[in-house]
Amino acid sequence: MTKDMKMSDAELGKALAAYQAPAPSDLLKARILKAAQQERQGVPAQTAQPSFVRRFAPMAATVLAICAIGFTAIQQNSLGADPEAAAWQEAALDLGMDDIYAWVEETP
Amino acid sequence: MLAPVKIPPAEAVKDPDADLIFGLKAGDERALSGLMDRHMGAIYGLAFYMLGERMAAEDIAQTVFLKTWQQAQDWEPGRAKLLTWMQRVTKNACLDALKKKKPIYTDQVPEVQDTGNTPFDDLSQSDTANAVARAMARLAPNQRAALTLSYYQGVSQREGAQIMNISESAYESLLVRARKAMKKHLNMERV
Repeated sequence: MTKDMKMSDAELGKALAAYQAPAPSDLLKARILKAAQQERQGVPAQTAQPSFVRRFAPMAATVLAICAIGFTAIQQNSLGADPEAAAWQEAALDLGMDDIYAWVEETP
Repeated sequence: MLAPVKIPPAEAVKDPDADLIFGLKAGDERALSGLMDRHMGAIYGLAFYMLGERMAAEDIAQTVFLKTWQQAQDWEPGRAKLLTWMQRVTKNACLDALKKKKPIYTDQVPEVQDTGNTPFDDLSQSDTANAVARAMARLAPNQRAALTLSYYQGVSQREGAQIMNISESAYESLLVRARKAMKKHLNMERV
């Protein structure tokens, strides 16, 4: 074909023949078969990756565990005040300062 | 009493893939594998010429084969060839993909057929291939599809019209416009 001449259909056909699609990847067929297999097993092909629930389940478990540990720690801290007070009282009684705690004992 | 005689419809289409359809309906992966052996070139090729990108064409091919696999249950033999339906699905998927993004002007060097020419001739052919790729990217998507079906896949005018979902005369007219535009773009490439 020349620049100045009108291109014929035959020349167009020749030019088009020079442009060939590259071969698809060797793995394409295997990829499609795998996706089809997943479809058959009820797993949607597009969601071959972990599902929403499966992805976030460990995260939810971690958050629950942290909450549980935090709650227990808070509980223990609030309960921990009493043994400390009892220890102080015992120490005071040992030192003979009975009258300091007498009013506590007398309180109805 | 005479048994009723079943007369096949006059327009019933003989499908060369009829042997695979039963397997596809039954969910037999060997049938899907056989279908890919037969038609991967046509489906992937149509997608490649329409999109100009190998990876995108592979994604479209995967979508089309999986859709065929999923919808095989509902397939009614005799209405159309399975390949014609798959080519129409491919064309529609490519048009959707093209709508979602800007036109592709590929820098990818296309595969050049080994013709046993001299290195100079091969270089010239490679240049031609690049020019064709650029010219095709400038065509309207429908023209690109029609040109691909006609030149690269050798489908008949009737099947081409079915794939494009237009009348035969509209398909012929589309092809004329596609050829004209392609020649114009190729002539511009040579300036």
